[in-house]
Amino acid sequence: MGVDEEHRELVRTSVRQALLRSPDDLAAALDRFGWSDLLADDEALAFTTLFEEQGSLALDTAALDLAALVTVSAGTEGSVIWPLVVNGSEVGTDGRVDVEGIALRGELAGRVFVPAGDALHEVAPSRLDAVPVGGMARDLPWRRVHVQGRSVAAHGSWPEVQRRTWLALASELTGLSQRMLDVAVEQASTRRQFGRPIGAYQAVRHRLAEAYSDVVGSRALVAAAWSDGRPRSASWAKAVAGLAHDAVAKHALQVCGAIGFDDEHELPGLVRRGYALDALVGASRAEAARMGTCLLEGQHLRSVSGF
Amino acid sequence: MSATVASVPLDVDAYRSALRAWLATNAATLEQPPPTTHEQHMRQGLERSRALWQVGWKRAGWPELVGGLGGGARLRATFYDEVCRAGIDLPETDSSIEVVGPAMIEFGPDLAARYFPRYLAGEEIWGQGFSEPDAGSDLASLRTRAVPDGEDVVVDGQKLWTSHGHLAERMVVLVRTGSTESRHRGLGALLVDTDGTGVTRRPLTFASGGQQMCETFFDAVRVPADRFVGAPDQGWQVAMYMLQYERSMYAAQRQAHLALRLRQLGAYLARTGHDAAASEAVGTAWLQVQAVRARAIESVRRLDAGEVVGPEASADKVLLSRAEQSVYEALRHLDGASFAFEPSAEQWRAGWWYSRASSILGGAGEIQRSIVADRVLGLPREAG
Repeated sequence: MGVDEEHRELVRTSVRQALLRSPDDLAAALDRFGWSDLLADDEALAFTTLFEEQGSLALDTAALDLAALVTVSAGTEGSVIWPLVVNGSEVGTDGRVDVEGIALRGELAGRVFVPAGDALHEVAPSRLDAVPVGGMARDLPWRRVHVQGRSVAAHGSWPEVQRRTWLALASELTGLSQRMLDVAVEQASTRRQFGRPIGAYQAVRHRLAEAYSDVVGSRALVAAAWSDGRPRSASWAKAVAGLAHDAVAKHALQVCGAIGFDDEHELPGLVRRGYALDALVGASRAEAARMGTCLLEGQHLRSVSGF
Repeated sequence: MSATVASVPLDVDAYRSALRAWLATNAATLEQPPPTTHEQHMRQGLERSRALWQVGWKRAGWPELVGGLGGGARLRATFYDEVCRAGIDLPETDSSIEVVGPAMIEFGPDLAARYFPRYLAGEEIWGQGFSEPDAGSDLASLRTRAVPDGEDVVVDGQKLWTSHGHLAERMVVLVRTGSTESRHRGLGALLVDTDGTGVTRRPLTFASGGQQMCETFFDAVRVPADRFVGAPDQGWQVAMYMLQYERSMYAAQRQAHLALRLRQLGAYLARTGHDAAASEAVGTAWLQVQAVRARAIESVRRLDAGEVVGPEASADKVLLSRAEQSVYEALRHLDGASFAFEPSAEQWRAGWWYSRASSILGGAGEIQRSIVADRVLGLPREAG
């Protein structure tokens, strides 16, 4: 193991411990192991590790809100209303905002932040509707929120928050895919039918090899997007991770068989969480269609950073 | 052409900027009319290779031993990437140059110094004589034999579906040097001149219409024994070494080509207004190309650092074939009847056929998946 790999492994272990010990007070737990130093030192490693680990543990924490608030230096407490589309709404006259989206932390007791125009705005709500999301997020505390109010402060740059959010979501989706793959490999290795482990059948083996390819492709694109720093690369990374999650989920569900549809099993939760995350800040297929339109209109798209 | 060998920087970032700037003013000099035959397509590629070699850009990343300027794999990947980015397609020979070259330099530096520069510089075409009538994916069952006789070996047998083999000056032929039972242990990689006595070639028409490959009969062909790449029993090692490049540098080249094709798609179809399904298919293909690219960046950096690319690179081949097929399937659906009939669609039809073959050549998709299942995921062995 090289120095780099040892360092990465150490970071991974620390992040995992913080996530497992204090999922409800993540900011404090991350602070204890020196998260802010890591963030300043190697932002890509900090983000990638935190969100991939959160994905592989299928934990629902304040990490995404925390990352956004830290990015714009707005403290560590508060809820962000995450839009379902790329780029949010505009700021109206007199600083009025009217935003719909998803709040990940359930009850909106503290400060509320919304993307509007080029900034993340802290809002004094005049009206705030919040209902449980349900569906693929039925086991999560997420709320569908409609907030109207006045901006009391504009924090940082929304495009910069959005870029990091895409990368965070891409890593979390990759973590979920990795975990689904691990679950399916375990099932294929131990479940026996017709006198042998089902993982000895080529149809099963090849599905899992496909799934592995999706996982590593999605992880590699996250790394490339961090190194080139362009917003567009980050949105591609999230889209690829979403498409990979979709593909891996289907392979895992097929390989695991009936047990994978039993909600007592780990798999259905991993599948649902991925589809829920994919819907945030622009879904994968919408991003694919957007890029397809660019290409068909003859735009010169630049690939992610070079060799 | 303005640049000289002396002005090629070997720092990757500086090289990229300098090459990009050069291409911005000189790419037009590399443009050629659409070829009408496969042979013309190959010859045009050689012309581009010669131009880019003479001006110095193509020498970066190759050791001085073979006429290069030194530096590593990242420079070569950057070369392919930038050439395609400038709208110039890569010469067909570049893919096997990358597969054959590094292995020959590693295992047979003397041989590489003597012969490889002509291939690299666009003076010659080489073929890879691997497949046989009874040895495709199961390469270790090949039967073409090389028997020592004095200073020479005598080669007898048959190779099949060798890309550009009928146009090639030389072939790297995988031959049996041990007993048939020795499987992969008794193999050698031999550089054979195709104008030798006893070599008979028959061009084969590829499904897309052009004569793109051949079958070759070796009838008591005498080849000097110093033409083995490495030792006479190192063929399998040589072939496995080649596969690292086949699955990484080749992916680096192809992703650049596919991105180029997707950028040409809009102009080719020249339509306004697209339904969502069309946009989604094209955009999905683009995203798949980006994932291949990201993996290729990692693999090429590992090769550049002198590390070995292991069995996990088979996943890159899975991703690459999928991306190839998505690009050309999207085009085929969008282009409708033109794709089926129009002469102007020729290069797209040829690309479509190649994309279907991309999950066969260099190890079929099924082999790649089995390698991942066995050696990366550690799944139970397949029932025999």
